Amino acid sequence: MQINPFKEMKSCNERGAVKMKENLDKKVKILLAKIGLDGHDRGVVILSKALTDRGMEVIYLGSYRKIKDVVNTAIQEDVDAIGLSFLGGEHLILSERMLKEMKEKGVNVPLLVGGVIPREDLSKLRQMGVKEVFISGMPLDRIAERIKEVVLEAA
Amino acid sequence: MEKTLKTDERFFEKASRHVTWSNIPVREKYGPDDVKGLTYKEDINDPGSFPYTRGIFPDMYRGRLWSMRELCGYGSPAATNQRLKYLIGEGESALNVIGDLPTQYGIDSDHPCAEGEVGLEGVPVDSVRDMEIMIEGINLEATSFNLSNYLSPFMALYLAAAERKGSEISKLRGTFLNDTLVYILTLYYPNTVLPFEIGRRMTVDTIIYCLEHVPRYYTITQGSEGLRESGATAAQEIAFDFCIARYWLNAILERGEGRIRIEDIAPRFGFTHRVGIDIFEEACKFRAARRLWAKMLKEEFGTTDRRSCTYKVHTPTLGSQLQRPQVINNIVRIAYQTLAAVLGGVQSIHTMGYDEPVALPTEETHRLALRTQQILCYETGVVNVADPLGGSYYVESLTDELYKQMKTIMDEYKYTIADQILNGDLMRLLQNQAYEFQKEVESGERPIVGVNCFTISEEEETGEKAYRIPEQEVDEHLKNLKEFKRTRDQKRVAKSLERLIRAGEDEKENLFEHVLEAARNEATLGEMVGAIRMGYGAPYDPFDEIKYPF
Repeated sequence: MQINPFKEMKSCNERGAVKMKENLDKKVKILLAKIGLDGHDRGVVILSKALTDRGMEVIYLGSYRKIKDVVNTAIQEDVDAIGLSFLGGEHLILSERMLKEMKEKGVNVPLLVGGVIPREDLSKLRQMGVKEVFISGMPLDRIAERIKEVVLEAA
Repeated sequence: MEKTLKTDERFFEKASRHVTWSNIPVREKYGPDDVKGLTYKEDINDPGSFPYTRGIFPDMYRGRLWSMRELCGYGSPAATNQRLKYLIGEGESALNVIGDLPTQYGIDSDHPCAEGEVGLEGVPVDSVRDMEIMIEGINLEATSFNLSNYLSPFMALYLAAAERKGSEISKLRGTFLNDTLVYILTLYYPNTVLPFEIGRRMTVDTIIYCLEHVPRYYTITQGSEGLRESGATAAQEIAFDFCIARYWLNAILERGEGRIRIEDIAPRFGFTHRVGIDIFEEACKFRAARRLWAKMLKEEFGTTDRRSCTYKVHTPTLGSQLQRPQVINNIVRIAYQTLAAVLGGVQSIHTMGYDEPVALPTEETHRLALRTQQILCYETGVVNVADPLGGSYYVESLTDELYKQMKTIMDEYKYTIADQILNGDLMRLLQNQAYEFQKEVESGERPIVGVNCFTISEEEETGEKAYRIPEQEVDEHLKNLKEFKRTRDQKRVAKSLERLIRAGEDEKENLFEHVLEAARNEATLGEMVGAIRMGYGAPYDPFDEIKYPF
C-alpha cells in the first residue's frame, strides 16, 4: 500500500536535493515540546519516537513547558529546529509568543508547528515566521523528510 | 488498497485483515464449540440479572433510553449557557460540561499562566457566580449534569450555585470525574501541581461527604480520555480502570473505618469509557465489563447488591479514531461508534463533532452529532430488544475472550496500579502501543480510509469550517472575575480559606465540607486549590507566580 504524500508541500528543489544528499550523514537534532496548559500529547510522543527511529536526535521536553524554558533548552542543546504541538486552538497566540522569545534570545533555528490546526491558519502561521506546519493525518515519513529539508534550507 | 488499483483487482478483493481493532485474532466462523465453556446462568444470564453481561436492566431501552449528552464548554460561562440551551432545544436529554484548561489545572482565569488559554478547551469557571451564569435557566433537578473536571472545588462551585438558584443539592443528579489518579494519568501534570497525597484526600473526602448530602450523584467516574485515547486496547481500557476503581473502593473503606459499607459506595461509581468503531469488539467490551465488574464486587468485596454490582457507563465516541483527511467521513465513523455503544447497552453517549480534528464543534456540527444519536434511536429499531447480539456464538466467544484478557490484566496490576501510574510506567506502555499502532497505519497494514487508502489530493479537501472562540466572550469573563473579586466580602472569603487550610492539616476533618463552605462564601477555584495545597505545606501557587491573597 502506498501512502499519498500531502501535495501542497513543496518538495525540495534540485539544488536542495543535491545538498541534502551531501548532508545525509549529518544527524538532525530537534527539540520537541508542548507549551501552555494543553496535555494532549499522543501526536508529539509518536512523532518523537518516529523521528528517533529515522536517525534524528530528538529531545522531547514533554507537556506544560514554559516558553522561556523551551528556548533556553534550545540554546543549551544547540538544536537544529524546534517543534511545537498544539490541539486546543492556542496555536496562533502561543506560536507568536514563542517566536518573540526566540527573537529576543537570538535563536535563529526554524520553528515547526503541528497538531489540530484549521487549514485557514496555515498561512497565518507561515506569515508569522513558523517555517512549516504539519496537520494531523500527515504520514510520519513525509514529516521527517520535510524537517530535514527545512533544517538544510536554514543551514 | 491504493486508490489507483484496477477494477478487476478490486472486484475480486477479499477481506484481508482478520483481527479486531485491538488486534485480537478472529476466525471465519464460530459455532457451538466456541461457547462450550460458558454457563448461561453464571456467565451470561438474562438482562437485569447477575452478572449483568446482557445489560443492567431487564427491559433496557424500553424502560429508559440512554442519555444523549454532548460535551460542552466554550469561551465563557455565558457562551456555554447559550450552547447548553441550544442543545437542550435540539433534544439533548442530559448535560455535560468540561472546564477549560486553567480550571483543570486549578488556577483562576486571571493567573499569569492562564493567559491566552482561557475558555479554549472548556468553560472557564472561577467562582460560584460564573457557575450561576452557566446554569441560568436550566432545571437542574430534572436532568443529570456531568461535570467533566477532576478537582473537587469545581463540583463545590456547582453545588453552591445550584443552591443559590433554589435547588436542593440532595436532589441533584449527575456525574463528577473526581479521580485524581486518572487526573495524573490523563493530564500527566508534574507532581508539583497536585501531589497525589493531596489529590487522594480530595477524591476520597468528596465521595464520603456526598454519600450523605448529594446522594444521587455519581461522585467518581473512572475513565475519561486518558487510557483509550492514549493507546490502550479495548481490554486494557476496562481492566486498568477497574484496577483504579478497586484502589478507590479500598481507599474509601479504609478512610470510613467501618462506618462505610461497600453497598454505600460502590453504587456511586460511574464509568466513562470510549466507544470505538469496531462494532463487535466494542459491544463485547461493554458486555465483558459488566460481567467483570459484577464478579469483582462479589468475589473481592463480598456483595451481590444490585446497585453495587451494575456497571454504569457513559460513552464518548473515540476521538483518536477520527481523521483529518476528508474530515466529513467522520460522520460515518461516529455513527458506527454510536451503534456499537447502543448494541453494547450503555447508559449515556456523547457523540463527537465530525470536525473535531479541526477545532471544537460549531453549533451545526454539534447538532449533527446529536442527530446521529437521534436517528439511531428513533429510526433504526436497535432500541427495541435488550442485548440484541446476545447468544451469537461469535459475540459470546469474543465477550469471553475480552473478559479473560481483562481479568489477566487486573490480576497483574492488582497491587501496583497507583505506583504504575505515578511513576509513569503505565503511560509509557500506552505510548509505545500508540506508536506501534501508528506504524501499522504508516505501513498500510491497517487500512484507514482517506489516510492510507482512498486518498484525495489536498486541493480536493473541503468541508472545514473551524469554530473560533469569540475573544469578546473571554474578555467579558475576565472583566466579570475582576469585578467579582473586588466586590465580594473579603473577610468571609479569607476566613473560609483559613478554615480550608486548617482542614488540610487535620486528617480528621472532611476536606470537601470546607471546600463547599468556601465555594458558598465566594472563594474562587484557584484560591480553594491553593489553600488545600497550603494545608499540606505545599506552595499556594505551583507556578510561583502569584501569592496567597489574604
